[in-house]
Amino acid sequence: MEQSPQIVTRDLVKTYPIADREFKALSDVSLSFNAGEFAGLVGPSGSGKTTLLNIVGSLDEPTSGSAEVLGKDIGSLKHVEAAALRNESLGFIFQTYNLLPVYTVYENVEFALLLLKYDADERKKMVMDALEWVGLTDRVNQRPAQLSGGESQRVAIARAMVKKPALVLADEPTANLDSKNSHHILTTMEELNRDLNTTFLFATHDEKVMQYLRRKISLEDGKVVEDKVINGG
Amino acid sequence: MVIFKLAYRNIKGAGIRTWLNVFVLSMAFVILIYLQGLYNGIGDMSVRIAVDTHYGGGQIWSPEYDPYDQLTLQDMNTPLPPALLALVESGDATPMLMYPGAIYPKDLRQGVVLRGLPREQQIVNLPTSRLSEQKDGTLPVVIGSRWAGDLNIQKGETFTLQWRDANGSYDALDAEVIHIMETENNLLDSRNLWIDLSLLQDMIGVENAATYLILRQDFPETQIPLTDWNYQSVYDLSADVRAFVVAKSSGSVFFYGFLIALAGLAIFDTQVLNLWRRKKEMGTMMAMGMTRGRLIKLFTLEGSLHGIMAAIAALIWGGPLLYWQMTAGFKLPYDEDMIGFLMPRVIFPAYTLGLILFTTVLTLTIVTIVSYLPVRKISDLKPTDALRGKMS
Repeated sequence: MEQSPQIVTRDLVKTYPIADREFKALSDVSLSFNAGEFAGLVGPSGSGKTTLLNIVGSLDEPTSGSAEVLGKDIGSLKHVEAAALRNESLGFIFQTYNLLPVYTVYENVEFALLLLKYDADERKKMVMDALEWVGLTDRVNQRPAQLSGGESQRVAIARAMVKKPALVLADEPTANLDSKNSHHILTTMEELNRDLNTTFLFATHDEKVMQYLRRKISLEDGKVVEDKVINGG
Repeated sequence: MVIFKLAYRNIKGAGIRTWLNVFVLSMAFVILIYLQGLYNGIGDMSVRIAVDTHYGGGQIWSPEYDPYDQLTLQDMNTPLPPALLALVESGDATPMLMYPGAIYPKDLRQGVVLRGLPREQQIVNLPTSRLSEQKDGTLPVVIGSRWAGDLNIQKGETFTLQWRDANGSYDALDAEVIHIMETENNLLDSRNLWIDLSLLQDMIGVENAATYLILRQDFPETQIPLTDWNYQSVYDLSADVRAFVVAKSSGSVFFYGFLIALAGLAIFDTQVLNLWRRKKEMGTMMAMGMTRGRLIKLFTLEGSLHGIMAAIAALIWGGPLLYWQMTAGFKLPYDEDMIGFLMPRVIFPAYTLGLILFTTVLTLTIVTIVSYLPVRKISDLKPTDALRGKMS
């Protein structure tokens, strides 16, 4: 039986007003992603990767066309509904990690669970499991300023994965990391993708990431120019 | 609860900035409570001292008596009506006769108020029993210690006392200071010469005359006989003190406002700074599923928590200080005689639960408002702008 796709975009257009003209960041993008994919949006800066990722992540709305994520039409979601979708089903990984600076590693990972109102015992178990996936159980009481770039991004992965979301959106996750740390991070994400069947969607122009992708969608000037399945995905 | 937990983590994590805000705010708390406690203390003590030494359970004034007219004091006494005389005889009241005179200590002339009280009276706490120490050829008088100090008069000294009797004839006597009294009531001290009532009545030539009656404390108001004399309750008599407390409290509003504004400004500043510095953090929280409403609540609560922490800090460092002042009191840095009404030498602040609750609620309300005002902008915040560190 064919599974229904997790993400479907149809003729997606996103424009931004810049001075007295409109800048078209996405132009008629139609794509679909199934559960468990390990896919990447690749292309140079300004090609529309992050814009597409933001719309899929319900952080932004399409100007026209539609984006359906986990059965929800992003364009028609109210602010609170979009927040609920992100809270319950989506995980984000950012280029600059975006860890909350005054929180410890443990508290950063726990944040999403607090919003989901898990009880204390459950939270503790889930946080420790997530930190174990990324190999940081010994750093629970450290603050982000005390971590290396690689460690920070691993905390960000644990934070994104702790609630076992259906979909993780990673925007240039390795851009600030050296080669060794990048591979370590990508291997971790690949394992989580395989073990938990979580869909990973990357926005990247990093060659190191591309080696791991099982599907590569190339964007140029807001348009899909290539959609290629690789590595046997 | 989650918001509270997150807010607490955030302000705890902000470190020294939080503690500076909390300290400034706690100072405002302590100073507000202390100053208002001081004014309350003045009010409470002044009335208590006045009741003890002068008001008793209220006064009944001669129809001629006007406390604001010191120029015709000699005309303000009248004979007691029989109904009021009965109160004196039953020990429920004591008559006070006031009359102008002059003394000549150390070759100086000083205008005085002669105050006659029965030496056996028990109604007010003044050492009138000392007036029974009769001296040959001299009039025994009692004066207050402040005035004695000003005139450099010692116990046992004599001076000439001059007055005009009821017929307008000048008369004079040698008066001997048989006792220098310590009284908390500064209004009964300077320029007041205390004489046994019957002697003063004889000197003036008036029989059974008084300027007013002082009722014993807890004398029932319903049992006051109806005469042409005017009853003044303790509440009426203490109107000046209350007016002073109200005037001082109102005058302090500017100072309070300044103090709270100072503390509020620090919180407001922190909140504005937060909006600029923590936009990315807000974007991250939104990406993790926090709504704008919860974000506004979180940041407002962070500001308000400064107020709660300040209240706790004020309790920790200000509590002992306020308690010490309540027990040790505050000595006026200037002579209380300079003030035109009863002022205790040492003021013991009186902090009421109402005062503490009012100050706490007022400060927390202001802190919450100044915390909320800047963070309203979050309602327009787009997650993508916030993640880029941009405020829409």
